[in-house]
Amino acid sequence: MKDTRPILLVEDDKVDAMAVTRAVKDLNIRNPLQTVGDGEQALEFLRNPDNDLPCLILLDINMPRMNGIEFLKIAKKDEKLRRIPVVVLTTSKEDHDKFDSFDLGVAGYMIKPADYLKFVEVVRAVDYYWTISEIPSGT
Amino acid sequence: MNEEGRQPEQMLSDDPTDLETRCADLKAQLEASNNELKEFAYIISHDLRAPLRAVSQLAGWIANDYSGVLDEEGKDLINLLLSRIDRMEGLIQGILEYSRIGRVKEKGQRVDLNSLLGDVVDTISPPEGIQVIVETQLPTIMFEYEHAEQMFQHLVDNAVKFMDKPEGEIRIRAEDGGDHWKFSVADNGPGIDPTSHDKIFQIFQTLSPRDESESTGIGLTLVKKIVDTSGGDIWVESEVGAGTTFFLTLPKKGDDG
Repeated sequence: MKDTRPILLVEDDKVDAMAVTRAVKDLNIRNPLQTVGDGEQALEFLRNPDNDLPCLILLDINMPRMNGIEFLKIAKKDEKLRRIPVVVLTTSKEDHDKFDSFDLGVAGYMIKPADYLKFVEVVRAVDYYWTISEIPSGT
Repeated sequence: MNEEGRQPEQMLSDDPTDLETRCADLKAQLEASNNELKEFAYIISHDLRAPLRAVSQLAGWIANDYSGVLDEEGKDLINLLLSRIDRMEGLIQGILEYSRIGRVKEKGQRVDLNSLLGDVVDTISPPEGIQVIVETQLPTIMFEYEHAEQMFQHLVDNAVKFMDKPEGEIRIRAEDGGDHWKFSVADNGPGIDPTSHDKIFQIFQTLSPRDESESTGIGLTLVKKIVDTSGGDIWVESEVGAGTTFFLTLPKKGDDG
């Protein structure tokens, strides 16, 4: 990662969240990882002035209460949040989910592989990309 | 279809607008059940797979993180767990492929079976000693490529997988039957008892214990469904000890030749 701000993971499945946590640890990614369970909690976290704004959001699509697409609709209209890059991390290969996500300005769309070692490679690629790419600062 | 004793000709002689309404009703019903099937395939592919993936990852992490604590027996149990998860994945994949045939209206294309078969044999890469011999020139047919591939892939793969002799032979032939092509895939393997000939085409039926061959029992069911949807026929001639020959016919379409 280009900087040391936190990464926000929005994921309702405990085991999927564990997979990201493990991958971040296995890859020695130093950014703190914050995990919330759905879109509403993500907005709450992002709008709480006590929290540092993340440099990257990893977003699941199928979630209870507020799903990933609904979250994007709100976050991308919010001036303080719209520039934070969002990478979708999902099992959905459905075209409509990809269309909706890119229409709403996501920076990437990754399908979670079933195999953990392949999953680590996905996280490695995301980390590497955002090490080379510029990330807009939080202000 | 025959309602309350009405004769079919009576139903047909009804007012034509009546007939149109019936057709529209039937079409709507068909569309509804098709959508249901699509939904079902999605539930299977997504909702059933998610927890399975989680189980697989957790088992893998236990094996990894506790490798120093687990004794041999514990490791064996985890490996069994992982192999059953793979089997379940295979079954789910099978159901998905099965539900896809005929549901998605694929457009046919010209498929040169000679080159297709070469690719299929390369993919299977039979062990040394097993020969796949194409005895006749194979035709180019109008077919959905993936379906043609699946048909020959499963037939040849089965012959290779169950071969019980060090010198195995699998012979493939095509015959021009006028309005159709007739293909055969023959092997000198163990053969199949005639009482099981119907059973092998049923979904998830296997003739050998699952622990001996990691076979889901979907292959021949898929082949049969592909052949059926294209208006052809498939049957088997075999006896224990006498090898097995699968025959299939496919009706010719416009561009065949």
